[in-house]
Amino acid sequence: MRKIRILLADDHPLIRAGFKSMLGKIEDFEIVGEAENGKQLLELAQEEQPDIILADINMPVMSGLQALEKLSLDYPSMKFIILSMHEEREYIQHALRIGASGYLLKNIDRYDLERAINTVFEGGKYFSPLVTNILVEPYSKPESIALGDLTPREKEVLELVAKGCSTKQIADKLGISIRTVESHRINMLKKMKVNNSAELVKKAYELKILQ
Amino acid sequence: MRNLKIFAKLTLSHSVLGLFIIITLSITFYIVLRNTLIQRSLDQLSSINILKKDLVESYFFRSQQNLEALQLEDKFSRIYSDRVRLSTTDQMSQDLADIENLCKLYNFKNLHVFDTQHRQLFSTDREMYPEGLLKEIDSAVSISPNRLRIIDATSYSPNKQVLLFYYVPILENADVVGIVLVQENFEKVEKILRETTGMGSSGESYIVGHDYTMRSSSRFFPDSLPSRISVRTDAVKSAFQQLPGQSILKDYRDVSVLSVYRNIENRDLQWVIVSEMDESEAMQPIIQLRNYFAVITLVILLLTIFTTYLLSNIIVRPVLALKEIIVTLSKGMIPEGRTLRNSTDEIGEMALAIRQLTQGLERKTLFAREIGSGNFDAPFTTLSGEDELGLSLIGMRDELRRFQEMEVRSARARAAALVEGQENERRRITKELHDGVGQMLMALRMQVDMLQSGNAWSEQIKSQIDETIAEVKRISYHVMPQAIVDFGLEAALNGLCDMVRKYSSATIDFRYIHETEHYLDFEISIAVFRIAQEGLNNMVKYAEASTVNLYVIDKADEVYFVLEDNGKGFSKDEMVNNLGSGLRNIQERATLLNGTAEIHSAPGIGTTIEVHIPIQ
Repeated sequence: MRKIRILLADDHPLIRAGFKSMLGKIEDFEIVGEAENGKQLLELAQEEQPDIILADINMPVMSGLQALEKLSLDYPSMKFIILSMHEEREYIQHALRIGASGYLLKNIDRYDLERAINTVFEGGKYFSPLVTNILVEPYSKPESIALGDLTPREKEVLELVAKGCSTKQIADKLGISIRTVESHRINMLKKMKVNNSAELVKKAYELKILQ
Repeated sequence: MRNLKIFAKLTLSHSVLGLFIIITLSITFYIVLRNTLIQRSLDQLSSINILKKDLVESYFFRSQQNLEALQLEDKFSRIYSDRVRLSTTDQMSQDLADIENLCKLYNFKNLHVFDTQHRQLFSTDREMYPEGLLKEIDSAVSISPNRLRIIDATSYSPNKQVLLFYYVPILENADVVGIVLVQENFEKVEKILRETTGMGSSGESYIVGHDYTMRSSSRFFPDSLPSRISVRTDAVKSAFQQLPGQSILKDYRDVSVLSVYRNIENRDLQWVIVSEMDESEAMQPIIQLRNYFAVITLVILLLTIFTTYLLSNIIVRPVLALKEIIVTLSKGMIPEGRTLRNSTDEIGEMALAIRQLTQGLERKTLFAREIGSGNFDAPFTTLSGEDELGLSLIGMRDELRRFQEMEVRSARARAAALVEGQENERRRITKELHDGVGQMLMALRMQVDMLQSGNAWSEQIKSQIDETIAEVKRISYHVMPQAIVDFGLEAALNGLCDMVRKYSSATIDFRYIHETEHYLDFEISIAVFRIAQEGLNNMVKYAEASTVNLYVIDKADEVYFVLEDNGKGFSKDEMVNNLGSGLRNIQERATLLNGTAEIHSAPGIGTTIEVHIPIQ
C-alpha cells in the first residue's frame, strides 16, 4: 500500500521540525514538501499533488487560508487540515467554509494527529476536542421568551421604528431616554429572534403585530 | 453751585436778551416822550409868551390912548398956555393937583412940560432930567415931531435906569409949541412879566431892548439893573431879524433852556419878549422816568437771574446725572443703580440713549467675561450694524473659538497618534508572543510528546505546557486580539466574552446588531474593543455580577455600545478613587473619536456604561 503523501506548511521552522519528526515515525506517511508561506504552499501543492495538506493560518506573504481557498477551487480532491493556535469561532468557521476537512490546535498529541490524518484521508472530518466544543456551543443562550410577546411600550417603539424614526426622534416623541429606546429595541430583537431592526419590522408585519 | 457753567451761560444769554429789550424800549420811550415833553413845554411857553406880549402891548396901547385922549381934550396945551401966560399960583397949584391925579389914575411916574427951548414949564416932581436927554429926544422925533410916541431912553440914562417916556407934542395950528414927557411907571409891566404861574421854578419872561440888554428885571439876578444884563442870545438875535420862534438854546446865563421869543408889536419900541424855561426842569419827568426804568431793569435782571437759576437747575440736574454716568463710563466702570428721570425732551432721549449704551456695555462685559471663561455659545447681539466694539467682540470670540477648536483638534490628533502608536506596539507584542513564545512552546510540547509518549511524567509536562500556552494566548489576546485584525470587532468581542466566561461565573449576553452592512474603521473597532475590555475588566474585578449584557448596535451613522451589569455598583467617590483611571480611559477613547461615554452607577443597582461613537 502506498504511503499518504503529506505537504506541511508553517512559517515557524521549529514547528515544522516538530511535525516532521512526529510524522516521520509513522511508516504510512511521507512528507513530500515543506512550505514556509502561502505562496510556497501553492507552488509545492501544484508540483507534488499531495494527498493531504497540513497548513497554519497565519503565514507571511500569503495566509494559509488564502492559499487553501485557491487550491480547493483548482484541486477539489485535495484534502487539507488546518493547524492553528486560534480557538476563536470565526477562524474555525472560516476554515470550514473554504472546505477544510479538519481543524487541529497545534498542541495536539501524536496519536491524535495520526488519527486525524487517516480519518481525513479516508474521506472523514476531524476536529480537536476543544474545537468540537466550540462548534457545539451555541452562539448564545437565548432566553425562552414566547415569540411576539411585546409590551405596549415596545409596540410603540416598534411602530416608530417601522416609520423609519431615528433613536433620537423616538426618544423625544415618547419622552424617554435613548438608552431606554435601545434597550427596548434589543429586547424586541431577542424576543423575535432576529438580527437587526429591518428583520424585526419584516417579522412584525408577518406576525401581524404591525398592520 | 455745581452747575455754574451752564447757569452762567443761560444767565448771560437771558440777561443780554432782557437788557436789549429794555434798552430798546427805553430809548424809544425816551425819544418819543422827550419830543412830546419838549413840544408840550414849548407850546406852553409859547402861549405864555403870546399872552404876556399881548398884555404888554395892550398896556402901552392903553397908556398911549389915554394920553391921546388928554391931548384931544387940550389938557396939555391949556397947561402950556397957562404957563406961558404966567398964570396965578392958585391956578398953578390947581393944575398940579389935576395932573398928579391924572398920573395916579393912569399910573404914570411923572409928567413934565417943556417949551421948544427945553425950558421946563411944569413938572410933577422936582427931579431934573439929565443933561442932553431932551436933545436926544428931539433927534429921535425929528422925522415927525407931531406924533405921540413912546421913547426908550434907557441908553441915555446916566445911571442906566430903565427910562421909558411917552412923547406928547403940544400943537398950535399944527406946529409944535411945547412937549410933554410922561415917564412910564415900569412897575406895571414888570408885574406882568413877573407872573410865572405854569413856568415851574426856572421859568421866566423878560423883555430885551434893541441894545441887547434887558428892560425887565431878571428872575435870577433880581438885584442887578436890567440894563446891565446883556442878552446877546440866539433867541434875541433871531427876533430882531424878524424871525420869532422857539427852540432849545443857551440863555444869557449860558444855561440850556427851552426858549420862545417874539417882537413886541409897537411902532416905536424895538423890543423882544422872551419866555424861557430851563431844559433840565422841562426834562424832569424824563429823568424820573429814566430812574424808574433803571429800577425796573434791575428788578427784571434779578428776576431773570432767579428764573434762569431755576431753569438751569431743571436742565442741569439730569445733565449732571448724565455727566456722572459718562464720567463713570470713561473710567471704564459700568454705572449701576442709576435710574434717570423719564422725559420726552432731548435730555430724556439722551438719557435713554445712555441707558441703552450702558446696557449694551453691560451685555458686552458679560459677553466678554463669558468668552474669557470659554463659553463661546453665550448669546449676544450687537447694538447696531456698525457696533465696532460688539463686532470686534464677536470677531474675537470667533477667533478664540477657532483657536480652541484647532487646539482641541490638534490635542485629539496628538492623543490619537499616541493611541495609534500604542496599538501598533501592542500588535507587535502580540505577534512576538504568538509567533515567538507560543510557537516555541508548541515545538517544545511536540518534542516532549515524542520522547516519552504515554509516560505520566511527560503527560504532566505537556499539561503544564498547555497551561502556559493558554496563558500566553490570554495575554496576547488582551494585548491585541488577532481576530480583530482578521475578522473585525464582532469576532474580537466574541472572543473576549468567551475568555471572560472562563474566569467568571457571570452569564454574559453579548449581541452585535448589524443595522447596516459596512466596514467599521479599525480605529473605531479597537476603541470599542478597549472600552469593552475595560468595562468587563472592572466588572470581573469589582462588580460580582451574575448577569452582564453587552450590546453593540452598529448603525449607519454611529456605533451604540452599552455594557450593563447587575453587580454591586459604586458611589461617585468610589468611582473617583478606585475606578478612576479605567473609567477615564473609557471616556478618553470615546472623546478621541468625537463620541460620548456615560457611566451610570449606584450602590446595589449595578453599573451601566453607554457609549456613542459617530461614524463619519
